[in-house]
Amino acid sequence: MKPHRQPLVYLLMTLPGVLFLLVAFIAPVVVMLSSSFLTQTSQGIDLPITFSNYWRVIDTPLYGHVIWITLRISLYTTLLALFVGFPIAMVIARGGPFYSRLAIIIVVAPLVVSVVIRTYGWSLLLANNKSGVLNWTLAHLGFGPIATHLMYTETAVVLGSLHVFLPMMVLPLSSAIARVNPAVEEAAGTLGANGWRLLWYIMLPLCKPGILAGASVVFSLTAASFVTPAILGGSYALMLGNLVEQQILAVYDWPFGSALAVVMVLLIYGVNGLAGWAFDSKHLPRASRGLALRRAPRLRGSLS
Amino acid sequence: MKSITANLQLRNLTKNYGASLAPAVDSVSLSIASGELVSLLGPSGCGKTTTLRMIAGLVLQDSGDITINGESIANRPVHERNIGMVFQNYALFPHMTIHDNVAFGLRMRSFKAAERDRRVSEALEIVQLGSFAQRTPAELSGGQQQRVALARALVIEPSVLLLDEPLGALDKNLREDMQVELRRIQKSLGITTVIVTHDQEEALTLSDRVVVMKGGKLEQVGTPRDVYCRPESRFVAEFIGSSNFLEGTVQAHDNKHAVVEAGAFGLLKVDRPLAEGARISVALRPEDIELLPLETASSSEPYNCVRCSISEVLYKGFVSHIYAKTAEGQLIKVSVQNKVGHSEMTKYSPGQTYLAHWPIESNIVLK
Repeated sequence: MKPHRQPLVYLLMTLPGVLFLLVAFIAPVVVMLSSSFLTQTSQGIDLPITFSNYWRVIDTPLYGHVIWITLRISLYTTLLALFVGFPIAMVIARGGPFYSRLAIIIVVAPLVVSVVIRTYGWSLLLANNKSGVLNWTLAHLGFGPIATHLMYTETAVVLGSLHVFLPMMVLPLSSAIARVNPAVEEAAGTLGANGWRLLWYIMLPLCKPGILAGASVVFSLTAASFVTPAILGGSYALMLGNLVEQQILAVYDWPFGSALAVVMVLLIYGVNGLAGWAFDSKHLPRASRGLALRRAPRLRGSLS
Repeated sequence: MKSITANLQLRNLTKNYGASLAPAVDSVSLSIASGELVSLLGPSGCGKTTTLRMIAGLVLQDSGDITINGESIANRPVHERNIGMVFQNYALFPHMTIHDNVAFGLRMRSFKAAERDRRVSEALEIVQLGSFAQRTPAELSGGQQQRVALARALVIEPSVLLLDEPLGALDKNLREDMQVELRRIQKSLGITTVIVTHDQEEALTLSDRVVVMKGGKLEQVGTPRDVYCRPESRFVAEFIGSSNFLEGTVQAHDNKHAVVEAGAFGLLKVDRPLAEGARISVALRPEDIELLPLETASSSEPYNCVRCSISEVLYKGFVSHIYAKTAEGQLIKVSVQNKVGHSEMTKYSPGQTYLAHWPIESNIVLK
């Protein structure tokens, strides 16, 4: 048997997955995309084909504002996840067996609990009244009766999202760090790099694929989330996901809801593509991208 | 590129990795002169790499001191020691060009771009890789990467150059070329160098002095000639080259010589006076033994000879290893040099009996 000469076998092997994706992903996307160009009538979704749904998104200041909030919350969450996640990933990749395992458990364990329950947990912690755990603690420390009003703010949504999506950052990061040869770090040390320079010149560039993967997942999931902003943001930190939910379930305007969803998907793809492009054109570790980079260093010449 | 006059001193350097384990490095003291190349040689686990890493600051000593020109560096962090290190698998920065790899240490020292470029080109010229500056490490062969690693370590003008099994990953011919190259560069720069190796041949070829280590301690320190020709212990005699070991009791001595009764090997004459009655061990290099045909050998050789019959002949190219047995069944290893066109190899075959004979100086008395 020479399996590599039988593409048909490979085709058959992917068939179940392809069929599932076709039914559960491609078809809904096609339906969503096409209904976003249609009109909601009292009988249901119908012709004529129109761009008015998209015009409405662009034309209404509220929607632009929500898009802006969505991007901002997602960006903050991603950056925070990177800052908080990198040290944890470092412990997982380079710490002793005990600390490494402990860190993995702490990061991954919350995944077992449903997002809804965890988010309600946050609302108990952050509640804007005397019984909120944070306010209660601060009050007992002498900061006044109700020291914080974090609930129903973007900060609350960022905190909640960070908690939910941190593992998505830590896991790719730790595997990227583990792939860096420790001797490379030692070499940088002997050449005079202190800890920060080691991080900046060696670790971060070499972990770029992991950083991009983690950031992409955290950003995309945060931008598309709807449970966390619904519970922690209320109407003050409305995100695109909540608008879609309103239009589909409350207002019952499926074409407009679809248009919002399409905008959301395009936005996420756009930001991901932009970030990928921005980091790709600079010095990316060869380990991650073999051929594309071969020419890159020569072009840079004296940039160093 | 200049080099700094730097003598390196290790004083009672000790490292324990665990209370239940024997110390990895046990009170090692060593003095290395400026410009000297010293190799730490020993089997794996002998503490040679730990010693090197303590000098570099990559491992912190439990006790003892490391000084360069009398100034202690033992408690300085690695990035403040000004030490050039070449790692076993080169550890080049995969995301940087060769130029940037070599420039890294200068950049950390805040050199101006022009000066940096000048020094990088100079360093790359020294290792003959001037035209490779804009390549990336993955585009280079093992030998070339090795030379980049060397240039990167040298360009910062380190006080001491440390090499951790630098040639271990290269194939044999390339390794020999690199040994010559390394020696040339080291001598021309006059840089104090410590090299860790488990390859005895490499240690003998490269070093001014060889430090043989065993179980975290120094077993013997000496010139390559010293450690090969005058090993002080059975371990050194066995680890460097190969040896026959003969045990015996001193029977008589005069001012210069002693006669040793060595059982199956008859009487040995050694070139140093030893106390009568002392039990001693003698190492005997296989290449020092000559096999004489019985008919031509004078039957009255009183010392340093034994009759033996060949049990196996291994052809190794320029030498043959011959395993022979004495009448009592004791094994004796003999090496004979082969020459193309001569039939030395076919001359010896299993079953033949010869008189093994060696000169007085060949008996190396072990401590």
